[in-house]
Amino acid sequence: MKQNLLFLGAVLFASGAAQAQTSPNCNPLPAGSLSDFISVRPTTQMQGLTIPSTHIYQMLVQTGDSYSSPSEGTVKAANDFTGYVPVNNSSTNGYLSINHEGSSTATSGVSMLNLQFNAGTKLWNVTAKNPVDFTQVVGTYNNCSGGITPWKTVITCEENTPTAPTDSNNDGYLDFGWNVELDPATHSVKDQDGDGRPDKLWRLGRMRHENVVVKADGSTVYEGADDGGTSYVYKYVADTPGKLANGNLYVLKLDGAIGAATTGKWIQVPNTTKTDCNNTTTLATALGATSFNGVEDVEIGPHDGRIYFTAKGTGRVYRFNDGAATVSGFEIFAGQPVGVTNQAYPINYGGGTVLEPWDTGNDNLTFDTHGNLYVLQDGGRNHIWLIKPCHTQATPAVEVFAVTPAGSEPTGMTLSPDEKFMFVSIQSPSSANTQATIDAAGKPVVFNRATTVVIARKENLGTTVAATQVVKNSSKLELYPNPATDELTLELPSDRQEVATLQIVSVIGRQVLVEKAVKLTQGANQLKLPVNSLSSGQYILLIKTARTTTTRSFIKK
Amino acid sequence: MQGNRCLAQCPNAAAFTIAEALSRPACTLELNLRFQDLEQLPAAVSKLPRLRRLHVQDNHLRHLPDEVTQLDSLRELFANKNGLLDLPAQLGNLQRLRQLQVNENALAELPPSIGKLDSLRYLITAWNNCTSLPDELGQLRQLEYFDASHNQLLFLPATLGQLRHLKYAYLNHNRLENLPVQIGELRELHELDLANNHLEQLPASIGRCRSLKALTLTSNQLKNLPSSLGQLTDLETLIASDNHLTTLPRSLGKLKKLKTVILVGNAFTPEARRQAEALLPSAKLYFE
Repeated sequence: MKQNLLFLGAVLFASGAAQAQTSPNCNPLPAGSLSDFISVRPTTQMQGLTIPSTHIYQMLVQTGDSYSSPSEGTVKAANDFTGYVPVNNSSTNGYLSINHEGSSTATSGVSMLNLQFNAGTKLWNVTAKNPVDFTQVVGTYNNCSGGITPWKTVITCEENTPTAPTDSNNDGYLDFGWNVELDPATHSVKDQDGDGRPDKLWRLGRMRHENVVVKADGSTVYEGADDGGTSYVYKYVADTPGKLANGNLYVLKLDGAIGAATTGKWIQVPNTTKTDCNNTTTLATALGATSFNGVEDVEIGPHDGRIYFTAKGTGRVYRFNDGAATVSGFEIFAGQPVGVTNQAYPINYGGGTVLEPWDTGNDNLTFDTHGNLYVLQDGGRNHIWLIKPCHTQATPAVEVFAVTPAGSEPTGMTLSPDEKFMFVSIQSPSSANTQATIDAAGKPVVFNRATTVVIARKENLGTTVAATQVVKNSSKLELYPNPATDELTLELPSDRQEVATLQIVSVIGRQVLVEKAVKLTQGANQLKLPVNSLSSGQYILLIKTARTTTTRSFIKK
Repeated sequence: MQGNRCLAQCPNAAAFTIAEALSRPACTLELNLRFQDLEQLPAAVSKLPRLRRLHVQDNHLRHLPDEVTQLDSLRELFANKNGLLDLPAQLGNLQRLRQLQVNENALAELPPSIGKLDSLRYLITAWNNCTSLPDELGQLRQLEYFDASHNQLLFLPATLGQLRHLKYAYLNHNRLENLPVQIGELRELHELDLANNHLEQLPASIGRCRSLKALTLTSNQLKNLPSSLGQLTDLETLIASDNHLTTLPRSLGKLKKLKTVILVGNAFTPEARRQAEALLPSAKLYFE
């Protein structure tokens, strides 16, 4: 009890401190803005996705879902960049490009979804799911983040890893470590040199690409790359707006040490020969580029035109003004100040205010048009943060938008043009997660495999489900024997007569038993479920009724 | 045909747990155990006769079991990002191994039997603590790619020159003070990275690496470059920042394909810069 009193005191103190520190200059957002919310209470990860009570999510796709053409197989894992590409600037009709950050060419790639929003049900329909065909460019590797161009193509970034590079088609360019431009409509790689065959974007350089952002001018591109020991920020200026095949590449060099220097310059990096393109990082190092610790996402502030980028290793969001050949105003916008490793921000979650450590791992960035900056974290507690445009380190204005499912990293957020919808992926949640939550479509979702969702305010998404509700595992369900060899017996009491559907999924999310309907009577029910056809391993049984979803894991011997 | 029929009955060739793999050993071609906090790899892994690719990277392994060397079908072994202190002495038994990736461990040496890996094309031992490499390395006649960067290498074995098919050699971030003369035998070498070593000179024999396209010498102690570099007729990129160079050998003027020369952080006088630029009119030189 004494501990509780002390905790309450700490919360009240933090709350007061937050009121004194928070800047009053953040302009109120228009009513109904996506970014207008009260923070969730920061916690360690739980099994579900925790978002503000004013918001709701709809699951769009999970690893293991079938592509539209069954012969194409199933959606890969490790969902990363999640780029909504509007058709004719529509916020109800578009494509969703999802990177798969696999550890081999077989597990890497991009899934392209066709999406349409149904105004009646207020739900998104996935009308097609297709893998992007990379065979003509010898595949892709480790598709990390990416970007949407002003001309509505997708750039997927290969985060090259220390795997041995090869030139398997003997074209002089090493196979992996490039940016690749995609046509979302045809879910194919674009031809860059007009020879009728697709190409990667050689002149943007070969490196461990993390992310790319193309300025509205159609020519200027910013890139982040983390090559392990070195980690640089690049700028590329295309010769022709809208065509990225040819242009000049630059790397950022500060005029002094990180933390002290506020100015810098862009150093040109040779990129005219195949050999130079293959060796971008080595060249940048030799030219004296400034190495930041773990550069990830680079974005352009829509409200101030400044360039923002994350350094994951130090847990910092930097920003600067780009003056073409030079940069100015270089500073740490958020995160750990120099010499500090325990930066924390006051988070008012409605029921109180707590100081939440920022930690390290700030990764993907996404702006709304008001300058609110979502920061997706791969480290710390893997939150989705939001930093308001009025934020300064002295007067913090930071919120926590989401606590992500256990084991996962939030990735790849983009917004619809009207900013009613947020598309984001949950990468690599724990396969041991079993708890189902109901999404806006009324569908139970278990975050036990990579999952891509759309999030909106409740008034904009779904009509039949009032809120995301956690469906607790029923304490009444008995399941035996466990492990099972041939048959599972389920003891399932019900307080009414109703129909239930049974479904079995593997721990990596593959559905191995298609929904099977059974009739439950009021009172005790005993069901027999043959499992002899399953391979040995761990599985999850989902039992859904109109009112509940119950999950249990079991082992097939 | 029998094997094909068998594979046709396998819905999934990849497994993500040992138990899953062992439940269908004849089907499992790939076992992916990444990020599973493994401190030991079960010896039972050897009971997967068709395993071609084994991913055990990103764990906490300190040793690999000897039984790994019984995986006769193994083509690719990824054991990087662990805490490996050594590799099995009989590693050379993996006759079909094409790629061995053991970077980011704590290896102090490689087993001599590595020389028996007749099929090995890609060897990545970067970010370890090796001070030397076994002479048997030179027996890897199929090796195309070798990354031993970020170790503590004090010297290279003379047998390195026997790697006739080597195309990419990354030996940067070591403690090399000189190179073996035999390096000139690497006639198919495309890229050689020697950055961040203690080299004071290069052997003249380097000029015999006739396929070399990119040579990186950043952050060494070089006061001059050998005139034999003028024999590298395919050289496109020369990177030699942060040395003590004052001039370029005149022989470089013969290198028509040389387009990029990075010389930041050297001791070129303004006149020496002009001479270097006049020597290479079709190349772009970077002095700062």
